[in-house]
Amino acid sequence: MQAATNIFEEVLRFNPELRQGGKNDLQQNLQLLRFAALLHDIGHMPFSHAAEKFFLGEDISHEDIGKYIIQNCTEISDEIQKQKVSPNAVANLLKGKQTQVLAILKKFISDEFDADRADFLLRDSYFCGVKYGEYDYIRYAGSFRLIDNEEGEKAFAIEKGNLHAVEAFLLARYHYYLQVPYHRTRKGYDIVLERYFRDLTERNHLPDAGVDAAGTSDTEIDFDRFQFFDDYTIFEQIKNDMAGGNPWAKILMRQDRLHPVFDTEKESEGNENDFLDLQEELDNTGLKEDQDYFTFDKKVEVHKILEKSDEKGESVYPVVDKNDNYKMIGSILDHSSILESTRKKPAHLRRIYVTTASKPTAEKALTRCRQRIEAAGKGKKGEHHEKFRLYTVRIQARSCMA
Amino acid sequence: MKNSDYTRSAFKHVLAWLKNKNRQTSKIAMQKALFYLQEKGLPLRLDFQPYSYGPFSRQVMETASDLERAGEISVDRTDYTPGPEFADTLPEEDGREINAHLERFCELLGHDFSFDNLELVGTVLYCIQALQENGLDADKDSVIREVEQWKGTKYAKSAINSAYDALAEEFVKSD
Repeated sequence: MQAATNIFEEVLRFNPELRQGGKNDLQQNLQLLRFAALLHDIGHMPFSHAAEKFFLGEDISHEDIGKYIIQNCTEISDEIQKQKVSPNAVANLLKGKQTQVLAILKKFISDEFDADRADFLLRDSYFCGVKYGEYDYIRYAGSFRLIDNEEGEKAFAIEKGNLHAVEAFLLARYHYYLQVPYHRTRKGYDIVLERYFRDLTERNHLPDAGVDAAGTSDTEIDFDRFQFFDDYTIFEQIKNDMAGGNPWAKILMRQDRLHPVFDTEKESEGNENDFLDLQEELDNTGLKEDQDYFTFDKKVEVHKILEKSDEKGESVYPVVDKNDNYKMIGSILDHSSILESTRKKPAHLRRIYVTTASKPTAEKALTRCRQRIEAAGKGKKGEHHEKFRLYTVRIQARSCMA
Repeated sequence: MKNSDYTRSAFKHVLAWLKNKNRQTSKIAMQKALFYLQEKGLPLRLDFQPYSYGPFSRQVMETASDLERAGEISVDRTDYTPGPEFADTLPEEDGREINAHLERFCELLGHDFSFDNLELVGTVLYCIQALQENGLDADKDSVIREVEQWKGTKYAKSAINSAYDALAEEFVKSD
């Protein structure tokens, strides 16, 4: 909420026509924006994304739940109305159709450069005790201007003098993603958590969240139950299930763990064929995917700004120059060599984890796989063979330490 | 059929229909056709946002990328085209329902699939729905004002007027 307020106020500082009494008064919507920013994640289930599909199914999301809560939980909607703000408008900012004014506000809470990311990067890095995710927040919050593009449409632009603050933010986010949510140890626990939820679902033991999620229009929530249905509720169940012998609960209580046996970040460390070869080798030894071993395959981009201009040639995230009357001078990709050069080269994380019981079998499979590839590479001095050897050595070293 | 499978199948069916009718299979045509179908009540579960050229759903783009990876379609800068592995997997009954809506969609466009006309009709429909969803009147003046706020002076009042008249009966709720 504070980040949304800061970015909003900075935009208004440089756009007098948006201030109170201006021709496009956006100031009057600050309170609406603050409610939306405050409540934008209120519909999350315990452990957020990892649990969502199990509790809500495929067809509805935490945003649908958030929207429902804002519209139907009177304790919340009454407070919003007391501030002369429409709960429906707040709800539609989270999910739904927006009028043009609401669409501008939405960019502050859901966009490539939104307040949510600006906030969680700093907060998560602080609470995780890492420096990844830190950036110059104050300069970043003041980096944006609201402009009329050539066709008179409102668009967010980046002031040229702040490009480095925006670059630093995107790089901080990239490193944070690699080092926190997608860190191999933490991701291993995510995988187990999902496996645990799947196990509960299959055995019909998923605890009652108080959400009857038949579909967006038919959703019903028991607020008395939902408000106390949190991470602690799930942890209690995990403890009980560990006592009952559930292997996934045992890992989640850190009495066991998954072991990464294949872990690459870029093609030069091992390509897709190696990844698939090893999976096949594991299958051939009788190990079962999602039971004895688990795979993770994810591209992590520095940013999602793929093209310099869109289908009709308008600049995507235009840059404006304050020394030239805020004239548009191209896309952010035209002015940032870092962002341009990282545009098409995401980190590609490919991992295979195995359970403790499967580890000896998996290591033998890994050795066989490596020998086969080395044999195939003999005489060719193949680059592929060299790359494969590099990462397997790294993995063997890790196995010795474990 | 799972919801995401339905959306994927509906995408392919719309693409095949447009191709068979010799209509443009541009990205914007697909976006606006799927938006229209969702507003007619089909359970596509796509999240459309007001974007540069009218309502736009990132999920449509992602569905297209998935289909491209599977060899079912090819994607270039402006168009989607059925690829070598293309197969229309929508059940016949669902297909018939979509066909009827697509015929009506073509009528609403006056059979003009130009970029600007797709953008205008999509934008006017989005504005009608957005005003109503936010508890506001979707009368002609309000919709014209909303479209002008979004698109600036790009479209003449008379053009917005015509698009509104074509859409009003189907979408504007009476009090």
